[in-house]
Amino acid sequence: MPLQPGEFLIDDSNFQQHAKNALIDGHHMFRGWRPRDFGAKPVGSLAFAPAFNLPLIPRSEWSDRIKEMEGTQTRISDMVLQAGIPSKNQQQTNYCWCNAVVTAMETLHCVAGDPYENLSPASAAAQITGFQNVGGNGIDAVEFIAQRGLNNVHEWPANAISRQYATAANAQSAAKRKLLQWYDLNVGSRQIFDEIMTCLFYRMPVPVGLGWWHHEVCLCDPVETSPGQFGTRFRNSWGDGYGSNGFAVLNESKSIPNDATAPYLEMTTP
Amino acid sequence: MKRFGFLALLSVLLALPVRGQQPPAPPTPPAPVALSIVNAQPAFKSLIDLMPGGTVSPDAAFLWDVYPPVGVESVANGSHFTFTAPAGQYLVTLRSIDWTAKKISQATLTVTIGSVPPNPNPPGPGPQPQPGPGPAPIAAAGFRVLMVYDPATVNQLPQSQLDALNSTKIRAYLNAKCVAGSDGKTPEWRIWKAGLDASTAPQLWQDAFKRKRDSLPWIVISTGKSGFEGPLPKTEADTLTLLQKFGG
Repeated sequence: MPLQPGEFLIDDSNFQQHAKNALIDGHHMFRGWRPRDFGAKPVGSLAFAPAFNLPLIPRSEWSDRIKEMEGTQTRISDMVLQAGIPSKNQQQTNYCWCNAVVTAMETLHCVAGDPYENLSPASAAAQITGFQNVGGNGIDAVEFIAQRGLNNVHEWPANAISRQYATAANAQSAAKRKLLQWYDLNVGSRQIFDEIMTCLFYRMPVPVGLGWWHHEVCLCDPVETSPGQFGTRFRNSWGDGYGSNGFAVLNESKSIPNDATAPYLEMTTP
Repeated sequence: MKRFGFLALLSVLLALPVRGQQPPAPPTPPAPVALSIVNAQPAFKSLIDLMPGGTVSPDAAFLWDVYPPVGVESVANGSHFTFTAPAGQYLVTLRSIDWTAKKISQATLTVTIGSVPPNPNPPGPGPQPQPGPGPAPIAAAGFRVLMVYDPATVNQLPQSQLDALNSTKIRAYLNAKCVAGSDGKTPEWRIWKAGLDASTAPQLWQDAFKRKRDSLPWIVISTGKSGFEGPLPKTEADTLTLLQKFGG
């Protein structure tokens, strides 16, 4: 697997040294993922979020497809880096779960060629949590953004947990930046990794909550970690100082999520 | 737009073959109705068969959509859905909502109404189209490109065409050749999914997005003086060749 300079693989042998808050470029980085309440929100129960139902791409095709994506530089990470889209940086907020979803939204805009707009995770997460610096999960972020949208960082600073930004003007502006549709992946099923890989082959970023890390990140590329073994390249929300421009790689077992969505339809950048 | 007197009747209860019906007493004799299923699913019996598991609850509610919506008039009556539309290809989406199980499922199929011209881009190797310039689909001066594809049927695209939609080589070309947008920096190209909400985009892009498309994925190229609208070529190389005819 061609790792980028600075990039690393997280697998079963080393995950424990990653499963904690981190010090990146001298700054402490928090996490904040909490389990989704599947009793209250079963897979596929939310409006505009059908359970994943695309035909799965068989594993027998994965290696060739990955080689072609790498060879033609048509991966999500290729497009994001070409466009110079920076990583989100949650700093000392516990809003990884919203940063990962916002990373997916910014990625969708990048793939679409829309003008880049630095979106504010706190504009959703702070309101979801009642202006508390506490954890959450991606499905709550996705639901909120679908209903009320997001502000950009000029309107609401990226990590500002303050009611002063919860103005009528900001609510009106946020309504121009909504998610429209997403797949709710069948977490817990035997084919969850196949669903993730299928999304990634179709260039749909997948925010995932990872129980082993208590953290949510955004999966971007399918990778072959060694012949016949697969994993995912993800983008963290700990700034560009993490990994390679915010990217690192998970093997298959560490990619298995405890919640996962795949946003695929959004409003264009205003 | 001339309205063809074709009526498509779809039903989740309907077994193969799915039939088209003619409306009663059309003002002029219509051409023979040709409603065909071009979805690649084998053994298709009804939209329910395309649902995960192939079944839905008898208590489920149904939501129907037809894309593109231009010229479409429809009536949804639970599990029965009827629409009239001009000749062309339409993507019909059915979502079932099972309130008891709190589950939403989705199925789609492509329906062809009327006689549709043969696909100029058949799958597999073969000569690619050599389109000539036509009138500018976008009136504003400058090189602009819009590609549109359907996320619900992305699995039906050949990988080479997926690569074209996501090609950094094509993006680099477009970045170099397209005029800058109103912000003075964003190159004027877009690769949008059918169904996205473009209401907050500049009017120029809203208008381009609303233009008639005969199929998906689709490409619109404009220099402001001439341009091209048609199916997206099947490969990155062919797409780049087409773009270079207009963008240099």
